[in-house]
Amino acid sequence: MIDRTTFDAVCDSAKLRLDDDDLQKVSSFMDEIISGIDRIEIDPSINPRDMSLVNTFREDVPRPSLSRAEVLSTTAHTQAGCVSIPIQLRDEG
Amino acid sequence: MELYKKTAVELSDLIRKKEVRPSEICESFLARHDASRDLNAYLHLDGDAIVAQAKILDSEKITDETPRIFGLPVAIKDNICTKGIPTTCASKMLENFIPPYDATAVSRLKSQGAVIFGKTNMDEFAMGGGCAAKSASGNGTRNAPASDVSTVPTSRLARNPHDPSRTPGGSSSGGAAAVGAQSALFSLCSDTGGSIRQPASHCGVVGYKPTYGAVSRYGLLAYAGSFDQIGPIARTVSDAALLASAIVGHDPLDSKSDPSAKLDFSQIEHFDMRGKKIGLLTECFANIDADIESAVTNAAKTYESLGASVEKISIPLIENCLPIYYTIALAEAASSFSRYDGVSYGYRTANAESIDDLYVKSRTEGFGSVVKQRLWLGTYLLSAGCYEKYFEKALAARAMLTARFVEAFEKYDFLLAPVSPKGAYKLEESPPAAEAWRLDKCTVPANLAGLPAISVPCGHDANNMPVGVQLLAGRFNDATLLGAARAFEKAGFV
Repeated sequence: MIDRTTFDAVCDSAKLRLDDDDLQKVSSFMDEIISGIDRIEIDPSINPRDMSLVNTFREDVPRPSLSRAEVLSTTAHTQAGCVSIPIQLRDEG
Repeated sequence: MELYKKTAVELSDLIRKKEVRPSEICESFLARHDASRDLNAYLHLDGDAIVAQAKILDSEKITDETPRIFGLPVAIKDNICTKGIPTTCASKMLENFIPPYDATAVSRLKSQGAVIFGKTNMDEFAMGGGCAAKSASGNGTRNAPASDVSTVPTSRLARNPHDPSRTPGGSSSGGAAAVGAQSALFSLCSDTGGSIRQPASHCGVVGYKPTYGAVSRYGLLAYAGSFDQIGPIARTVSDAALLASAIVGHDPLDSKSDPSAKLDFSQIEHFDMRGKKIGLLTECFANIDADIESAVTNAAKTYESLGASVEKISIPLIENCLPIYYTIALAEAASSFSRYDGVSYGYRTANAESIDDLYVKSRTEGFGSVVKQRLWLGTYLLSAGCYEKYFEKALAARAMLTARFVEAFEKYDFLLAPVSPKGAYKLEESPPAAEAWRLDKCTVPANLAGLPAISVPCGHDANNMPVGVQLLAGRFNDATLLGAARAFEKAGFV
């Protein structure tokens, strides 16, 4: 069973609020996952890294992309050609 | 002529002979859709826009070079981006999202003259296997483009065309239901842990998950990027091959797209099973319902009658494939879903006082219960201590499993297994979460190893609901896989 402190800390990391019902469900699911992983005996010669990947990044050169207007079309919160968010700094005076 | 009753191959031939026009085909499927709306197979379908697309194609010249997919309508799962058409992932988080770009698979279809025919219903963000989402939430979140996904009425759930009181499976619930009901010719769907094959099995249609890396994931809204793969649900293996042919191939926009991915399905009609070796995956036959085992075992006997040799093979690690799969998939989801922050697209809360408040409230209000629980689990598995103890161990176990499959395919041409251990359940009788995730046990091995796999109808369960048999092949042996599936289909078990 996941303790409440751990549960809340992970909620903070995940940027989510969950309730007691969620706590019960994730605890039982986690128990099943963890017990399953614990049962596995790993061959020490296995390398889990995909060594076939050499450089998955493309060349750092400009190429055609979406226009600013197209990108901003996905949100109603725009201002001066940018996405707007709540005010972060307030005048405390 | 009831065009909706014909296969894609038949309709493609009719178009090439100029005996039917693309708009006639689309109108036939729209009429069929009107008669089957109760199945809730579609989340978005604009009949006028579909006919308008098709009428443009009506006037195009047909030549020998015209692609086979030309003029055919393709339904698209609602987690695959379609420019200018809503793409919601059945979630409040994206209920107003209209992508400014097409997924590569969609742009390839369009460039070859296919008609984009509506967006199909699904589990929220593809997180479900026919019941996992519902049971994990306790209230039902499946197929829910609703404002409060934790209280979605069953009237919004996709339903099985063979018995509307039962699930069509998931997560590609609408795609399979539409093809099964003949309100779609075929559908483009995604498979992360069985989301194409399992609903195809429940709806009596063909579901094909290509080799990981064969079809671009660009524009597929990710669940777990190292598993996600786009593929077709179709009425026949030949139709699945027709649709797959139009979308496979390297895409520089997907870093996992294989540059050597060239699949040629042109010979599948003539595939000869004589001398082929099939291994029955014994771990997948453990704890399955007797009627499912009977149908799948009969499928193996059919292959023997076609000249293949069939024997049992054991890969013990498959018994632990579910915790391996969920550890990696949920960790990947927790990472990739951080993009849903309420800032540049997707749902934004109306009551944020700070940027952190914006993140937390937007995500808490925008995601359904199952998605939130899975994101919590993934975040936990990536936390200090758990990462090394569980996530890295799961990665090593995945590598071991992949190696075992490579060894198996040195001996066998194909592996055979059930798709689901149980048949389609009634919507109001969803199993509890502790049982629900076990329904994925026969499908996730192919995703863990990046193998091609296909579900083909092979019989019926005790409730007279369709049952599929699953066939797996080595990486990029997709054409022989579909050849073997087609051979089974031609033997008369559709």
